[in-house]
Amino acid sequence: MTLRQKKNFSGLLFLLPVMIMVGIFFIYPLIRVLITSFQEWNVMGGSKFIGFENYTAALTDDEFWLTLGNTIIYALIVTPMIFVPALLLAVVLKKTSRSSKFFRTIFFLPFAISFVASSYMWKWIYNDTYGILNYMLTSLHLISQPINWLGETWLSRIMVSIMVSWKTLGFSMIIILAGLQGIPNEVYEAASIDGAKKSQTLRFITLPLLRPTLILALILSVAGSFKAFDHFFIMTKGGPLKTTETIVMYINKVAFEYYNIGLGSAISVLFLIILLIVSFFQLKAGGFSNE
Amino acid sequence: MSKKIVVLLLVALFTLSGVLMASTTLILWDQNQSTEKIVKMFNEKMENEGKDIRVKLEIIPYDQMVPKFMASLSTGRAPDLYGLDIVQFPYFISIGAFTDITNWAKSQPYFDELPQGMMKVGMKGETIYALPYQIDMSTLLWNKDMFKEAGLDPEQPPKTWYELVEIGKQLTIDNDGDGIIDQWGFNLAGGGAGAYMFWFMPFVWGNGGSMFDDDGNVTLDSYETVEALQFWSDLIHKYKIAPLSSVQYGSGDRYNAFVSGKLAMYLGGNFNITSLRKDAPNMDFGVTPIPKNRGGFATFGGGSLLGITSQCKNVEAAQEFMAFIYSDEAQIEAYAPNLQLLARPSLYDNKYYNEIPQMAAFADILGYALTPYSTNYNEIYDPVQYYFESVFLGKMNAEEAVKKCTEEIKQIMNK
Amino acid sequence: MSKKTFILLLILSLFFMIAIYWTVLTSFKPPEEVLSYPPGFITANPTLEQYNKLFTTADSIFLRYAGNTFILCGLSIAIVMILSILGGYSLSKLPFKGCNVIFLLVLSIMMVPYQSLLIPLYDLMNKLNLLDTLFGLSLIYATYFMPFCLFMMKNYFSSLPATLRESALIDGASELKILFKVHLPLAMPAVATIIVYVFLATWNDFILSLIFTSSSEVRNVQVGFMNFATSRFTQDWGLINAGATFSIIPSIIVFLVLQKYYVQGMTSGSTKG
Repeated sequence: MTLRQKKNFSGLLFLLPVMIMVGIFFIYPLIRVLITSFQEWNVMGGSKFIGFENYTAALTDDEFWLTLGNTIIYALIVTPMIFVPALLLAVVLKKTSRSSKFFRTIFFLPFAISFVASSYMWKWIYNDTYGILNYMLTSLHLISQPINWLGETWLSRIMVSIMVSWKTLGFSMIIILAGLQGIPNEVYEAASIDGAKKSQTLRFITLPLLRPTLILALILSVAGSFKAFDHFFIMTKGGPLKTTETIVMYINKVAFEYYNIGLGSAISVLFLIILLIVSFFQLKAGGFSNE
Repeated sequence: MSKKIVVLLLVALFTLSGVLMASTTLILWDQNQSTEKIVKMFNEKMENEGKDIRVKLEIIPYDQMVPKFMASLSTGRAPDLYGLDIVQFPYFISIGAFTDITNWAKSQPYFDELPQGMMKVGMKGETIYALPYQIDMSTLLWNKDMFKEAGLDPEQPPKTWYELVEIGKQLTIDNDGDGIIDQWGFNLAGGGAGAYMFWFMPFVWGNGGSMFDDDGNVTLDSYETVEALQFWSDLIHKYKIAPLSSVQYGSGDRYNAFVSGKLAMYLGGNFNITSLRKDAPNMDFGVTPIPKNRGGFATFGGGSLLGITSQCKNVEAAQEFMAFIYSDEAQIEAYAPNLQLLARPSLYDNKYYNEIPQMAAFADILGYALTPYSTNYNEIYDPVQYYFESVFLGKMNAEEAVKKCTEEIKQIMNK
Repeated sequence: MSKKTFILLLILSLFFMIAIYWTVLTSFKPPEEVLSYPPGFITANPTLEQYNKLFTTADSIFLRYAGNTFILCGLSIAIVMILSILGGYSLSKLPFKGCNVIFLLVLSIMMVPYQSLLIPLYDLMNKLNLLDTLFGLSLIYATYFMPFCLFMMKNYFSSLPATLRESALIDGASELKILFKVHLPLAMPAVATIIVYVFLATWNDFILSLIFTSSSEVRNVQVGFMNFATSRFTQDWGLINAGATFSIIPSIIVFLVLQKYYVQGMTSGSTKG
């Protein structure tokens, strides 16, 4: 075998375990979902093929567009809330010093709590009758009336985003920290010799070198926020008046409350396509390629 | 490499140890931890009698009851018995997920005492598929200490809408004059359409209105419904005895408010009593039916029914187990200590209930229980939630809401 | 860092810690204090009652749940590491025609919510007899946590120069050896990250365990304590907080142990170019 063939063969071999796992546990169920999306699926068997009916039903359903819009708006709010602090903190805390270690642990801590538990916790904190947030704000006379943090559309989006940001920025911080390890010290030394200010170093040296890492963290974060379910389900139940209902909540409703798995599958396929397009653009923006 | 093998072996051992060695193992799905006790008692009994039937309990939380059931039905792995949420039965019966147990059920000695309203939901025509199992009802709980403090008779809870408002006004208090209400007289119930059905419909029924008639026609579009919607809205906007935020309060939120002393009258149920005694041991509270207006007292007959699924391979064994579940011994020893409402009202006079004064009210309340029947129950949630919530938030006129809601429900029913 | 930065960080930390402090505090409060208002920021009667309940309910089955979850973590981490280290290296250093398609397919795993795949996946697991088994569940975890890890390893390997591999090849090393002996030691920050990620994702998983396992012998921690603590209408706050507090501990330990890989500061220079 030529060197090139040998290389390709090894490449394939090394990727084989991944391909097998993905093939069995993802591709196979996904194909089933695709098939089901063209059916009127019956729990007890005997499903009927109905062509694109499910898709037209989804695309003409107001709730589909409403929840899609809600989800996009939420993703737009929460992503910078996670990212900007994560990046700044990573840059500031990348040294080995004691204080850095302490702070890194503090900011990581919330990530160690499960999503479900923290949704319940924060719902409690935000409550207008007995929650500690209002208690503290009114005791300090910063507000005169308790605020219904989760009862009003934009406010609840922001408050839920704060909770999510609190919970996940620690992990984004770690991803970026790991990425920062790949940037050799000499680069920074050279920059400071050249007289670059901290902000200039960040903008012109760190960020470009960090691009692949940032794109990774971004894609992970955006995909996560598009899939938002638990926190809204627990904290707002999609209210008020469905304005915080996310698209996954809608899929869940269609599949398991309306018992319509065929339609649920169609919406899932649409969702996947949308998210793939979004990620594709993110990857393109990151100038992504193999080495 | 060998480390991985050891791990795999350990895993295999763990999984094997979970397999029972009986010739008939029945799988029971239930959301209630206390059912474990009944299962234990039954397995012991079977061992003593030398019978080869064993039961294995799998706990399914409320939110997963439907998804897991649908998944398992479609793969032929449904449980043998299922204590499923009552309102899901019409749909699952209609697709053939449960077995006909009519003759067996009628032959049971306690058959006649089971609540008929709930039983109907487990039937199709005259065929019985499931029996009332665990009962949850919506009631009003009131804080007697707060009544006393406000100079009201602690033993006289509101019985009518008018009384609810009058009493509520005296219980909505700003203690320290800072403009913030420290104690609310009442909270609405929200957090999902299921909540409106469970907590709000009794107000409609108590006003003489209804959602469906006996033939399954939609009867929501009536002025009794409009009045009830307006009443709830007025509690916030006109009489101001409930905060606007409570439109979205789930059970947990209202419970917290009640326990922390921020709420005087609380829409709660039997399921709260055990926790209340633990979380608020110094509170003296009572249980009373939801206040009525033009109609009679009403409550939502909720909870779960117990049925044998159509994928059960040994229906006789399953029936033997069911018979045991409904026996005096099982009902009283397993469920009564946790103050679970038994399906058999004749057993309400038991030593566990008798220790708790609040339990006495439930025997009567059971008589007022109603449960709506619909195979599209979940689908009608959506318009119910949207339009009712709009009215409570003050964003839509009650008459308009009822009209639109009824239209949408009719559309769903006619699909 | 400058004094100003330090103070800013301290204030931010305070904000971060309030919710956690509250969780931990509440877990030590007796039931009648848990929901009291005004909320107490310290408790006069700290008690282990909630933890006692957590650990002794149903014949101390919670310990079994914890044991199960540790096994799950071990299995998932092992499987994911193999998949993503081999795969990441392949995508980065041994690209072949069409490997990008595979990469995109793997990424799309992150784009599908479990609700969509629930029924066919359940059916598949049933057919493979992997339902209600720890091993089966760890395979699901491995598949669904792997995309991020694969991406992470690929990225990291790509930041290492091609000359590394080339010179090792000239020395006659096999591809496997080049991966494990040359590249992997330099990629420890990425490896540490994926270990932390998989551990946490497995330890904190609620929904996948709920769907794909049913018997208590195979239950995990999150489902376990949520079952104790919640029902349709009720939530036992003391217990929820006790469970949450207990849950944080292993995750923090894993994080602290692996911290040094994030901040070596010494990986740079000597190996570059």
